[in-house]
Amino acid sequence: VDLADSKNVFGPEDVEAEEPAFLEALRQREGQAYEALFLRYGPNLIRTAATYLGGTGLAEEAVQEALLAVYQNIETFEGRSRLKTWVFRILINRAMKTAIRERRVVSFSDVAASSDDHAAWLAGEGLDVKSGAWASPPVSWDPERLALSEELRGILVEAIEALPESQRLVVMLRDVEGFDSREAAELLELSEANQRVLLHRGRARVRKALTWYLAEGVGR
Amino acid sequence: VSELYGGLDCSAVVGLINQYLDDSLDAATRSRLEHHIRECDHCKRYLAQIQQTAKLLSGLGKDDIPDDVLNAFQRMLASRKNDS
Repeated sequence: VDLADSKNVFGPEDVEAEEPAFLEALRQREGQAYEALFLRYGPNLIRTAATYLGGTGLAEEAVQEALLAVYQNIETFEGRSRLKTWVFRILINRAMKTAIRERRVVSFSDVAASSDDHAAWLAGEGLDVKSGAWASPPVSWDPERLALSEELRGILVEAIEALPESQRLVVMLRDVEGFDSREAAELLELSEANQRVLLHRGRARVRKALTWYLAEGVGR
Repeated sequence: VSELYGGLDCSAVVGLINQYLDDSLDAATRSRLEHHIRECDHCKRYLAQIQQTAKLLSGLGKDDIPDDVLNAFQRMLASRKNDS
């Protein structure tokens, strides 16, 4: 299969559309449809797998296994969720199995947000917990530095990598991969409320990292 | 001392912002939070920066697939075809 040369009737955009014709081609085991599926979701799947398995060959292996499972089990897709959610669910199951085998298990135990924990988090965000007011209010960002430059991209990637795994998974699925709250909760087998706590804490950490770079009036 | 715009202090607003952004607040709480945000510059900026952060993160989704991964996948696909 030479991609540069092939006249694929399916483009990555067809995957998103999940047209009946595209699903039918998947059911018929048409290679072009699987290529389109891989081109559309490959990088996203690898990133998600890497959250469980690190930047190793294991992540890529998990993605290949997952896509093979899609190929073998496409009849069982009943359209009750989006195709994308179904494919990610298969991938996450694979990645988790490998993570357990390799003893790299993602823990969601830091979700349990006790009130002490919440207070400490608020203080970290710059609030005075006693008065409920801002102790160190957010500083303004320089709008000119907000364009998605290579430099800014690098800071975002670093910030994501520095997140605790559970927050990183939720941030990746919600903000980078575009799943909604219900889908992300389902994919990770979390309650929507816990999923939301992890998302907000993850975003808040990334906001802080961005502030280092974007704060106005900082000499550089 | 925090101004209780909308009957909420700033730490309550920060604690509710994730639900606000997911549109999962009840109507009354939502309108109180919106009232607070209109009046409080710090919380307004915090909300804007969280939204901006989410928007920047969503701009990250467009990486290319490493060639070796693509090639491996195509080889796998080709071998499945030959099997069937």
